[in-house]
Amino acid sequence: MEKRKCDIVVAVAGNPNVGKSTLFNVLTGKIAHVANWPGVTVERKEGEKTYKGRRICFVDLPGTYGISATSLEEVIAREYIISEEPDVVLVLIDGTAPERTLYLPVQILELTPSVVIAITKSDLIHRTGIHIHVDKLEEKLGVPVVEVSAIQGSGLRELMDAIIAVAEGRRRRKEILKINYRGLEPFISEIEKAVRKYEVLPEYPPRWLAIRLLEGDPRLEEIIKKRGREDFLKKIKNIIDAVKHSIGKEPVELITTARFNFVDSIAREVVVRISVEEKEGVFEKMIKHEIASLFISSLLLISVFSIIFTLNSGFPLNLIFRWLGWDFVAEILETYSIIGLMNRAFNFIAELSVSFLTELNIPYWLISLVSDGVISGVGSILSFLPLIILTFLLLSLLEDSGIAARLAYSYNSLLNKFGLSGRAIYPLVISFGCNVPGVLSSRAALEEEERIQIIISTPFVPCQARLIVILAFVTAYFSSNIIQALVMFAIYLIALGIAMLTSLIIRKFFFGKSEPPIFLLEIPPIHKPSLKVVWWLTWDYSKHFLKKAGVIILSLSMITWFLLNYGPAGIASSPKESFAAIIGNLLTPLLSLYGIPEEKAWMIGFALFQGLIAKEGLIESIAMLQGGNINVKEALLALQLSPVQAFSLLLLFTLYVPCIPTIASIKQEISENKLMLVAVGFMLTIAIMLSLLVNTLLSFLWVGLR
Amino acid sequence: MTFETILAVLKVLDEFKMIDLYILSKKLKISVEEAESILGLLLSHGYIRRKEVSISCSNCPLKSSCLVFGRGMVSVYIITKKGRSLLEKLSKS
Repeated sequence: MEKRKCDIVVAVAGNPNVGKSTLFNVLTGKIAHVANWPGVTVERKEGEKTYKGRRICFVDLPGTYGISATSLEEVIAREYIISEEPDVVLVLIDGTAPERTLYLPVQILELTPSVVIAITKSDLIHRTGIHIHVDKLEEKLGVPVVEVSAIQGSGLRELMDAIIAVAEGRRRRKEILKINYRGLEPFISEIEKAVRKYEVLPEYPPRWLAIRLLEGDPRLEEIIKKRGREDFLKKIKNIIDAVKHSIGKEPVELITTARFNFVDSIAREVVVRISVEEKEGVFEKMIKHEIASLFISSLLLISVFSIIFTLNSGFPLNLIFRWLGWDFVAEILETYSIIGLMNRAFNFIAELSVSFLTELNIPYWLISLVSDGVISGVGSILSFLPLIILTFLLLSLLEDSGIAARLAYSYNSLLNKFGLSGRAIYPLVISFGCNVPGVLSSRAALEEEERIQIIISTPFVPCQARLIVILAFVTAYFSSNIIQALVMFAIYLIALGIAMLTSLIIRKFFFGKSEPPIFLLEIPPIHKPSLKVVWWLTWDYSKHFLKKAGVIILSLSMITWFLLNYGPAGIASSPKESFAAIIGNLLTPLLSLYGIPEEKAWMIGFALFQGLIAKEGLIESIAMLQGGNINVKEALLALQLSPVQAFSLLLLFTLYVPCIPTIASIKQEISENKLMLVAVGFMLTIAIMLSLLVNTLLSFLWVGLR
Repeated sequence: MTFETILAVLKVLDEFKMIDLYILSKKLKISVEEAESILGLLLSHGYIRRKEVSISCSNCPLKSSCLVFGRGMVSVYIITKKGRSLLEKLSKS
């Protein structure tokens, strides 16, 4: 393969039967070139793929267990890495035998730092009760590790991203892997010095060469002899004798033990095996039943997520208590929920900082920035964390016990109608509580296209915060209980319908696929989940959220704070003078299309802006703009909307962009700015177009009825 | 885990000529994971090789007590010349 024609050259290495050929074919689409390796009859396959504007060429190295050059295949693989210097060596680990296949990447890492590791057969790993902590393995080896399934096509995008990141030096190790060979280290250093001094085999990394010569490598010794450097070999022999004399052991024994201990300690930390039984229980039999499975799955999902959301904020149990007239119980539930306690803690911290900074005579704008911008931003990030931890704790428990696959199986045929697989049920159900973990759990998708469908469609599912807005508007503008219930039902139905239609449209028109994702996943046997694995999964998800989405939420919170508190004349003395109000005013022409007068339209525009931080803030800001001393119902009624306007605006509030944390989560999951902006633009367009259409239609109907 | 265990695996392979992972772990009273890890090490150094063999013993009278029966294709491990010479070298020293 001509290196100059490729932007990135990737050598693919792996044990025999690791799934190398399948992955190679899936990555490259087709093999561009098949020939023999120079001078031998071992087949050499090459292929290429254009990804993110880069032409990436793949060279399939022969299947080897190591690079000790004990077979022709090992010699070819080793010499290619050394002489051709590919930009990246993609080393495969068999996910069903990680302990056995971990040695090859370790040996290659001792030779080159430009490595990406792919764990193959991810579709089979769980079925066999094996769990691999990918993040921990990455941390231990210092190179990207990606779980892939060539059959399902999962993990391929992440793999390609990792290859580019290593090739471009963003995620590459600074140097080769250095295993501590303990007592041998002084001898390794001595040989390294000799390698440099004698200038033998300058193309090989000196440390790697020193270790190989200590271990005994006939091929290297032969090359050295051919170059007429017997003097150097004599020096090496003397050093080996010195090792035997001083330590009393063969160097090969010490090296083998050290390498084994290194790999074994990593395997013990990153691999968990759980014994699984294939026996079918009552639950398994019921879940396979066509009708019973949907009922059981729905009951299980609703119960479990209701417990989580109740622990988090009191919802939905608080609503049930209020409906029963037990307001005091609902209040206790809300006050002592995780969010309730966190809000109190952050309010306390904000008050404390305000009084502390005031005493120090700090300017007002800085005090406001700290209390309303920074503390509130950090509070916003942390307020999502318990829900994310709880959600992923539950998802991990379901996943690791084998129940998740069964529940997904129950919903598969229903969701297939919308271009989704049964696994999309998790993000959809979670989104009723909060869109942030809903978007994050799009990782449950079977394929990349389905993941994008979920990310863009689930934010239309009305979350708990939007329910507060819906309830407030419904109770203010619709007096009859039946009409209230019908309006709520209609809003939920429309929102869910839009979410499902969005998914279908994206699949058909954006990805050009007419078939739903193939549910190839084999149903793993039900088993007791491993707490260690559950914690790995939960913490990994939460950590990614804090790292990526957290930064975006904090930055956007600060920007929003600025827009709400500042205006063209500096610090805004009233909300009307703020930049947010100016933006709200810009929305006046749009809101006039709903028949809303200018003096009320800017308030709704301002509230729409405020609602970006959290949807419930939308109601609070309307109340604040009406003077603040009236209750929510009175404040909403003061907008003097007709029932048709109230319904149309409710649709607009429900469907327009959920909130900043959800946008941050979309950004985290999509990682492409362009696609993220398209997603946000799509939500805004749908919300405006649909609510205006409904407003027009209902207005005609309303006039007709009157 | 010491080098003695690694050596013990090589000795078992040398004695039995061909052995599978599960029998090896039972023989040495070590876990399957440990046995798998040692086999990986020995494979990567070229001391042993791996071979897929088909088990066709459905008519065998001992099938009820056979450890490998019913598994279809089984991976077995065989000591190489390099492995045998290491064993000899270490036995001498």
